[in-house]
Amino acid sequence: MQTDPCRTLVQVLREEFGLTGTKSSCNAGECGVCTVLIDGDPVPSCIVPIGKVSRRHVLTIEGLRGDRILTCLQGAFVEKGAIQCGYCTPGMLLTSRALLEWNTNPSELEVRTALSGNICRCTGYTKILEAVFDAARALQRGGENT
Amino acid sequence: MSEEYLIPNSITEALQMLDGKRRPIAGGTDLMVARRTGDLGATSFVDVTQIPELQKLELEEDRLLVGAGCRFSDLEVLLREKVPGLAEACHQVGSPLIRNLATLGGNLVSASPAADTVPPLAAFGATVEIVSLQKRREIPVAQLAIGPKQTQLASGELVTRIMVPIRKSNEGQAFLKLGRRRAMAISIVNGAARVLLEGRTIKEASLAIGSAAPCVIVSRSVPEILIGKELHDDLLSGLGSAVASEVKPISDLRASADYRREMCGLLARRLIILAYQRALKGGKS
Repeated sequence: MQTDPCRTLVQVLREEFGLTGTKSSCNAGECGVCTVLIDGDPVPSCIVPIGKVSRRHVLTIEGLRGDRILTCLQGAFVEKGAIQCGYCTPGMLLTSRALLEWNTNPSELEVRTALSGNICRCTGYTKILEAVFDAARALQRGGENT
Repeated sequence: MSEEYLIPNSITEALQMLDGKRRPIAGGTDLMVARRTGDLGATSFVDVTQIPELQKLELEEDRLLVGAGCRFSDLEVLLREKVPGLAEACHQVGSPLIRNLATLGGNLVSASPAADTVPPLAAFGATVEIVSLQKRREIPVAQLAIGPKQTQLASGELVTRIMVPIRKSNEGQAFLKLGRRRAMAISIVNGAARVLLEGRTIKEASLAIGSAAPCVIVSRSVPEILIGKELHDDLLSGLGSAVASEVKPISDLRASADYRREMCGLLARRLIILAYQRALKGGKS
């Protein structure tokens, strides 16, 4: 596709590809609702110029449909009531998924630190943290269902 | 005007692209925000993050040569053993998402007075390598910024490496940052210290404070007060006041000048205590 290379990744994803699972809010890289994975690393797509990713691998929440870790996290988020308005949720899920891929038994500090760039206005974070721990435990037990 | 986004694969290629109208971009975590708020104007970019020489971390006998394109998410781990005070600062920049993009070189070139990596680099005596098509030069990190968001870089110059002295075995390092939150916070006041001991006596000491002046303040009084002595409570209160009188803070949306000045004194004492304790334990915290 052809576009201005300085247009932001979040804009291109939402407006050109119709991938609206990635949300837009602060547009300053601070809130995390626009989180995507570039080469496996969670980044704020609102401050990434599309030109930067011309030869990189970008994964959105849609791209992880059916992924074992994500499915486990989604189940745990629903079970624990970690979703209210849902706007922070795709970002929370992607960042948590990236954490659990390399750290299967994170401590509370590690989870809090990993999620410290994803803001939630609704839940007060407690249930989100519980859901991530639940999912980590379930994945260690080898299951997909919590 | 159409904006270009060029991605060179070598330093030479990058330098040839920097013709005065194009600007280097690394992680983009500062530049893309500035672009959005209109502070940048129409700009073409030269992305330097795909240049292998800028991603390297090389070990010399007593210093590390850090590629300017190294990201904080890597540096917060890689620097932990050899330059723990700088690793602590890298770990507290922005958020984990920001740290997956933002680079050490970018933090220095953005030249925010609140940059978290500047106090440790200044306190530890680090230098930066600056190259252009014509020449190469090396200057102390503390001299790179000449004012808020301004560096002495000329058009066509690129910061390529940061040379950081490695912590010695009887040396302790500390970094502290005061902010409204424990993550994703611009520093109200930040600082770093290093203390080198001979037995319990301070042989070398330095302290740098950021976010309290247009550029980083490397304290002149800290070495004067501490060198040749053991650390005692009586030294500490004098040290705090001395540092508080060296800084030139402003009042802004984050804090008042008075508050900053008082916090500088407090931070200076805490930094020296931490660095001293760590030096006594052989530098481990």
